[in-house]
Amino acid sequence: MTELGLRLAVSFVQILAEMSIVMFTVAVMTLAERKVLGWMQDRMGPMEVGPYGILQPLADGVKLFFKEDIVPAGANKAMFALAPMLTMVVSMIGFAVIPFGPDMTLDIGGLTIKPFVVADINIGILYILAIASIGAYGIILGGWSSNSKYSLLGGLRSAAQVISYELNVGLAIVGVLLLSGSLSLVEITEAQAGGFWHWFVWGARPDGFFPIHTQVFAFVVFVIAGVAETNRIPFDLPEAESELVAGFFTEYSGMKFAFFVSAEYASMVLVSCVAAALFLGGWNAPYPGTIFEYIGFQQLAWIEHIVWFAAKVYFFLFMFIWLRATLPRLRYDQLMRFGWKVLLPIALANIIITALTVYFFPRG
Amino acid sequence: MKALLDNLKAQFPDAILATRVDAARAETSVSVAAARLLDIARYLHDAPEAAFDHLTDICSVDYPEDQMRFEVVYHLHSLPLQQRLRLKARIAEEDPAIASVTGIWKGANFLEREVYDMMGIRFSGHPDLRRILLPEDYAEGYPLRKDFPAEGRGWRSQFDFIPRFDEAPMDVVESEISEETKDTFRTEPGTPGPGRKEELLLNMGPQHPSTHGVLRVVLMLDGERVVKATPDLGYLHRGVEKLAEGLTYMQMIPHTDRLDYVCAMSNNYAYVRAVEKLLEITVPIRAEYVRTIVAEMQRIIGHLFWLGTQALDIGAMTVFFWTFREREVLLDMFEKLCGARLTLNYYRIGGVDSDFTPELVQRMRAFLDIFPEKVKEYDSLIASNRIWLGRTKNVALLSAEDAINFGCTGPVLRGSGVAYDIRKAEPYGVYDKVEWEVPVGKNGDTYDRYWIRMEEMRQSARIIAQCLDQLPEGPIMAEAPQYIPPPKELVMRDMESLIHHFIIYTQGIKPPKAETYCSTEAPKGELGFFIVSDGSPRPYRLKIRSPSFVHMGAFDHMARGYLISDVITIFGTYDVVMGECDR
Amino acid sequence: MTFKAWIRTITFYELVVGMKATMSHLLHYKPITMQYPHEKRALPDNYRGMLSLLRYDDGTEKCVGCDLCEAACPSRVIRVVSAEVPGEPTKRYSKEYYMDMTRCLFCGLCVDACPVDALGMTREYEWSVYDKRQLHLNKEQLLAIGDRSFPVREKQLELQHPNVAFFNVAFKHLPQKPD
Repeated sequence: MTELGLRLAVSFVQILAEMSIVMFTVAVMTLAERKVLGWMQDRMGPMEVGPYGILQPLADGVKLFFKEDIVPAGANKAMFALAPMLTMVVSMIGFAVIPFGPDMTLDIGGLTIKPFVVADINIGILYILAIASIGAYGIILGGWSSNSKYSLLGGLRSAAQVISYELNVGLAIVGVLLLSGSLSLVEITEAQAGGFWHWFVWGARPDGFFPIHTQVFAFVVFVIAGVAETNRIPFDLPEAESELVAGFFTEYSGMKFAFFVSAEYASMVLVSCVAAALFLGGWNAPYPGTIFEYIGFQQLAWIEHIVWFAAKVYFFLFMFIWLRATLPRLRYDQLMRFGWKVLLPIALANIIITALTVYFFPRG
Repeated sequence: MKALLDNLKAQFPDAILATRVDAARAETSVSVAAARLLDIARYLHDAPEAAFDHLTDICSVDYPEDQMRFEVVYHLHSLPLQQRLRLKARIAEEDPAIASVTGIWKGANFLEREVYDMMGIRFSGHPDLRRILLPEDYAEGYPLRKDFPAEGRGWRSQFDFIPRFDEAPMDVVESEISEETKDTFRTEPGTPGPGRKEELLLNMGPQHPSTHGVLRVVLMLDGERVVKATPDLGYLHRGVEKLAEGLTYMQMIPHTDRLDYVCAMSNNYAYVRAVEKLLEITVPIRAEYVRTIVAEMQRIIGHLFWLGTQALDIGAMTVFFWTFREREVLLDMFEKLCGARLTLNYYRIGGVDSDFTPELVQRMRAFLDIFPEKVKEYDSLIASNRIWLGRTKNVALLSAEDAINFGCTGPVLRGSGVAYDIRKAEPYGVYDKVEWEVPVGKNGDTYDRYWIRMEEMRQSARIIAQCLDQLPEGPIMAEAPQYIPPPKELVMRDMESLIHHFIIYTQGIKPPKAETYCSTEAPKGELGFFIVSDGSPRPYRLKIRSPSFVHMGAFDHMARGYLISDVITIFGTYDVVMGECDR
Repeated sequence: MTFKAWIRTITFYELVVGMKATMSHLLHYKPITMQYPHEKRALPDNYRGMLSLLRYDDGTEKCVGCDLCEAACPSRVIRVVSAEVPGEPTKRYSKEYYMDMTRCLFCGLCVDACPVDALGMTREYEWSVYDKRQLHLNKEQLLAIGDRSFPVREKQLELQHPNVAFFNVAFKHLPQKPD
């Protein structure tokens, strides 16, 4: 009994820590997006709240918290309230299987726990794919239950978009799975240890440096499909503000709106984490081993690992903002055509080529 | 023109009531019998020696004292022969009706609706004769009739948009538009549609992020595809034309600022030119140069504004801020020039308000030096971007025939491959003294119109650079003491000047009894002012031919079959400004 | 499609060019916007802002109550009630002077119209109020705006120009017509 209690307590603390890190990143992202967009557009971004506006997320949060919660006439109230929660929950629980740091174990009162991953389950990546598709339900429900045509159109666009691009995400990952031979994100990351060329985006074999199993096409497909999955420009059709006002969350206000927005940012973080773990070697540094190891602080190597992971994730997050500053929005039919006629064949070809190379040049 | 008039008289001996050639203003008008109007219009459109393929404007004038009270004025324009003709038909007061010319010029649809809305003249044979600018339930009559008070009669819409708190709230709203109301937006009433009854009626605007103001369009959608688009105009209707009838000619200038508020200079220019044509004033050469420079600056500003908003509509938000950066530079110059940034009130009848100082010349040169770089910067974001090309190429195609038939002008017409630019065809200002080219598109799609406006910005820069080089010294106001107030320094020094000053400001200027139409190439298209003067200091009738309004007439034609996303693109590609559209 | 174009397509060449452009703006960050209430633009002298009534350097009002501004105004902002200057039957002044700034177009025609330059457009533009009625200004308020915006005042009109002496028949304190 005490063991179960302890296990629960430890898990709870881990979840809390992870949630706060994610929510903090989301808050940073809301500010960073506005700041970076501003800088790219020759303006300053938010400057009023706190020095250089760094407390803006706080002000936004307070404002949204105290805003009136409007439910449109004729809306399905239960579904209308459920949709933002569903979206939020789904984008948060995906983080359970993300390894933030190295595969260490700690002994706490006879329990063996992994401090940097909440649940190291052996089907981690499948779990993320499954959870991510549930996220579409939140958007569709939100669009449908609002009793607004703009929301409905946004929801419908989202349904089609998520289905099409989910497929590409899944197929882009297959190559990585062939290389690592595991579905656990921890094991996938470990398989990429040994430096820059051993990351799956280059895919050198453990004993060499020639990028023979390169997944660079899968990586590009994954990133594009990931942008589409998170409804970001240039694929932000479900919420295209110049066409559908705000798409599926046109009718939302107050905290429900905040839920949708933070869920969007959280799923950006999630996609970035997955991309970092699958293709860019997760916590592995671009050189073999760690610097701390060389200078003799082996027990502190995890700090370096975490820093590398965070750096990769923030690189992707910056990419999201950068794309938003640069690109126009696709049209609906172009989006579909691109997903099915361009990305899908590339992903399929990548699977075949990877399978062949792995068969003829097996890894280790 | 003489031959044409003789031909007309020979063809319709009983219908041509009078012809009048105004040699001084180079205008020809023909009065015809209202009953034969349709035949004459068809002849003028079809006959090769007439070829009036472009219906510029339809206007109506009210003469309450006359037996035939209303006059409907058609401004025709022949693009191949480069000639204009004014066709006038009188109709009586009781049950005023005249044949509709929508079968000949499709662009007449909106113009005739406007005449019906404002003057109450019915057009028999019009497919959809409803009020266009005023609310559909407007119960006060027809505002441009002379017996309608300028202040209105205190009518308020009966539309109950405020919820009643004493009634129980409705839980389920069936639909916001009743079945009968829906029918007005259906394709052709009575005819079966594409066989499906699953169309979605989507109300876009007037509160919508990208309808460029308060434009409302009722879209009938099949999935996301537009089956029918019905623009609903008039949310910004201020009755400027009625207002003008109570203002002196000079007082009207600041009101023209508010038409196309993005390009106030162009409106000033168009209006002032029309009044000068009426008064037959020639403007000093330096003023002409300054006017041309400022008008081209305004064109650059207008096109920068358009580029930013169109890119923003398509989702590229950075372009918007970058274009506004350059726009600010030019607006700062305007501020230095005339003290205001947006509502400029810079042009005066007979000249301009203040001189283009050497400091401004220098600043303008500095701007022209960096401007090509900046345009390159916008191009780096969108010019060859595959998403941008995908969103603009083959979207909202408009063939040259349709563009002419709908009365389109400006970049919309040139995008369809018709090289018609008023600055070349009927040069004014100093456009004939500088070298520049008219960019012309090929396919008539959104991309061509985008390309044309980009090219026009470069050409405008070219015009300004040449004008700055040639800028002569001299006065900036014409000498015409009965029309133009004396210079301010003389007013309290010189008795003559003081008297003229008082007379012009208290009584206004009294133009000859005449009527004139003058068109100017505004950034959006042909902006024309038709002034009927009865010799009093206030215009008897002032009609504004606004390009945005005419272009909206082609909206349904262009939007059908495209997606919702393209509807937004079409708003952008017209460069529609509601202040000008609704007037 | 040429080989070069094909390479450009698969490497997203033109998108990369665009991303480079935005990145260069991030790296050479030079904002063109301003933190408006904290910093303000320098406005040119001829800025057409809030209207005001002016005084001569001896403190007398310039306005002679001639109503030209009222006649020139395109949106009927101005209302002038003119009266004789008490004790000086040849002079007039505006007894009351109202401006309804809610209607003003800031076109400057009244300033152009005024024969004695009694109206001026200031560089004030922060005139947002909670109550519209506060924008209905009377003569004292307009003079106060003029006083704070135009510290340097002109001489009396009669003293500005020698011509006045030729018209002067009644005023002993003014330049007299030479014999």
